[in-house]
Amino acid sequence: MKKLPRFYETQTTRAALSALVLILFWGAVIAEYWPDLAAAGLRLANAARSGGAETVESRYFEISSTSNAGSEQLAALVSELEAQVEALSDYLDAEPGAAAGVGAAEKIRVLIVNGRGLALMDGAQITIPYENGCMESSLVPLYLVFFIEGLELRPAGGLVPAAGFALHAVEAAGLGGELTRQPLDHWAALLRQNGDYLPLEQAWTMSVPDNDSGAARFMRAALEAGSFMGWVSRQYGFETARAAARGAPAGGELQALTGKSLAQMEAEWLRWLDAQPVTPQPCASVIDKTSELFLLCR
Amino acid sequence: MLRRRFLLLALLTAAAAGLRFFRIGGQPLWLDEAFSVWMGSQPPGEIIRLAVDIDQHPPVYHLLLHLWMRLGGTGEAWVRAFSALFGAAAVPAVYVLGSAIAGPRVGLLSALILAFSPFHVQYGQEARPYAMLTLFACLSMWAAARLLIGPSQENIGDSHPPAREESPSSRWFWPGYVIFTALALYGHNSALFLPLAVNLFALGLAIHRRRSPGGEPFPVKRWLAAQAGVFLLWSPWLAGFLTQARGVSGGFWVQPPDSVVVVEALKTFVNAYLPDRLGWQRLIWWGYLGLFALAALKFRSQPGRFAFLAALFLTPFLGELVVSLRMPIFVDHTLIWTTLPLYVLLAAGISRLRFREYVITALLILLTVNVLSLHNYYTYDQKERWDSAAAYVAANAQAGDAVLFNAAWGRLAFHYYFDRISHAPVEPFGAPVDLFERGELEPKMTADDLPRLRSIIRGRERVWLVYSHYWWTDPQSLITAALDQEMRLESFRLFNGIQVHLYVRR
Repeated sequence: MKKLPRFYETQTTRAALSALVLILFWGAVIAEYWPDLAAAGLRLANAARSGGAETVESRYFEISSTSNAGSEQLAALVSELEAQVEALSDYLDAEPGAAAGVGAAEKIRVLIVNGRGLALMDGAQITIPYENGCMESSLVPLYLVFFIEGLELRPAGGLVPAAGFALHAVEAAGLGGELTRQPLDHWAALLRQNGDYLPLEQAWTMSVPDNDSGAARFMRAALEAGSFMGWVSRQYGFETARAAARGAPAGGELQALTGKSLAQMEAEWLRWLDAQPVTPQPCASVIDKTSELFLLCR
Repeated sequence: MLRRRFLLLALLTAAAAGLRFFRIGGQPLWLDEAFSVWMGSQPPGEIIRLAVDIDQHPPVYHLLLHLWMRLGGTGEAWVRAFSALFGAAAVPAVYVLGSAIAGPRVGLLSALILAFSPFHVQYGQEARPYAMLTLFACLSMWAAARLLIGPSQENIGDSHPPAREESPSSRWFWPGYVIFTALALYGHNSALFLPLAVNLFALGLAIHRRRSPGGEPFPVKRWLAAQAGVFLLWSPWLAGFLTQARGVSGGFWVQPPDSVVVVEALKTFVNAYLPDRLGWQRLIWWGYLGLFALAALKFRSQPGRFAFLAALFLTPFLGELVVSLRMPIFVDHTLIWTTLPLYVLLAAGISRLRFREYVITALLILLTVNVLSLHNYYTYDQKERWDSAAAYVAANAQAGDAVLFNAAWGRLAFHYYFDRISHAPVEPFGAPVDLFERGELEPKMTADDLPRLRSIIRGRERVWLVYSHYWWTDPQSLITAALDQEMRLESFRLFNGIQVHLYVRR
């Protein structure tokens, strides 16, 4: 007796199944990639109009884009950045003796490029990567503090206290959401719970990382420094925290202002932190796996 | 039929070449490539001496690159084209390997997977020995396959006569195995696992045949003679290898592998640069696992062939992991040649789909995924920007400036670009020591080296620090701390993988 073919063996079913799988697969790919195609069209139009990189007017920024981002996305970015600068300037100027706000100073240069990864800053500009309709600008408020405060971008040693101060300022200005995801004190408590805590003396001398594991370690150090700076600001005054951010890598400024060594202050802060009723969320539950910041959770 | 197959193979080889030559000179040389170019620029005798004294690789790639550069110079595109040619040539090589193991259909599918593999395209565009190693290893595996397991049943009566009948052409597999294995060993030290894998399989095969009554006897004498031939050809390098192994065990930049590194290496082998933006990426990995499972099904009736491929992949992979327990050497690209048996398995898995519609669907999905990954690679892969760092220093340097390199051999990459655009009389120094002064490629900065550093900067008005790979060479940030103490940081620029600091006298 002739054996009947199974359902997936008949020619019609084979063709139908293959077509269905391919339609689903390519449909999913196009759904992911289509925004770029549309944006590429916009960019071509922009390039034809302006003859190259697109520039955008802003009160505080000099923004140029070589990316596929469309005009509407750039305009939205400008609004967001301007609001961030104003919020941060409000907070940083609120204290006597604060550095001059951005408005009077030279404009901050921002470059938007096609690419992935986190936004970068060097002494001259902030570079924001754009991909798939999204700008990865979550680190930008942090960088804005460096510009507003005129903080030195120390490549080795002293960068963590500055980053910690900036994180504190971002949180205090109400801009922490996208960046810190949960309060800095919660992060510090979480790091202690997980055994990832780095003594401040070591954190204070960390260099700019150049690989993923170094970057994760640096981010953890910056988060605990952010909590520490918030505590210093509340306990010893905003100016003390500001001076610590500008000070020598070994914490010499803090010693001069408070008469206490970095290690003594760290012990005080940790005692305070341990007494707080904080319930930190696990890293992976506050940072989405698809986010570039997920590096922190590895 | 045969003609169509060769036409397809020619098209795949052309596509592989196109992908490997596409934008080949678009990015600057990074540190390792600049080192290759510098090594290749030395006289042959010096290349061999330096390979033993300071390098961690055998000298053959640099000797061949020396000849290649005499033909066409040291431009980025030209030095990388050498690898691109090896990379393209590996496509017909994997075809014959796949054909020998599971027939011409699997051979063609293997060639397609290799041609579009982002991992292989990447190393086909890099002036390093990995593409060359892949080709030699592939040819060695092919010869070993023909000697140990004979031609695929699907090949018999086709184009290849069975090897074990000692046809005139099959005799060449013996010297072929010896020569290509030795060449692979001269291509990279990780290829030591190649004869080990083949011999483990041969041992298992010999035992199996002895236990099978009436089976064909294993050609023990001939096989041992071939191994002796490989060893004889390789033995001139034995002393150099032992010297390099001692150097690596004394301190090497590779970190001990953990589970994340191992899983990432496997993903890189199968499909490097798979875009994260595909939120359903996990489905693709499951698809690959499904194909491997189908491959196991395909070889159900020929377990020896499956075991051969498994031995070729698992022996080096696990071997590097085991050695890493004592001295970490596990790095994905050193195992690039072990992806070939994986690709043959994938190809076998696809061919097991049986119906043409399903095979075409799987191929279209595989091609789409690889094209997206290649787009990802071409668009986002960034090499270290030594060109920009050198241009920045060249534009701002003044006569008498000192330029410090913490990774002393970074000086090679820096000067590759700096010398093209500037004749500024700057003085280069290495920290902790000058280039190769300590007989190490990557010496680490220690507190004992600080007096020398201070003597370099003493009395200078301006010092540039070109700071790269410092997590290994200056993990305690001693260099920047010493400069911070005595000078003032005037400017700081970040380039991809490199920091440039300018310090001035306070």
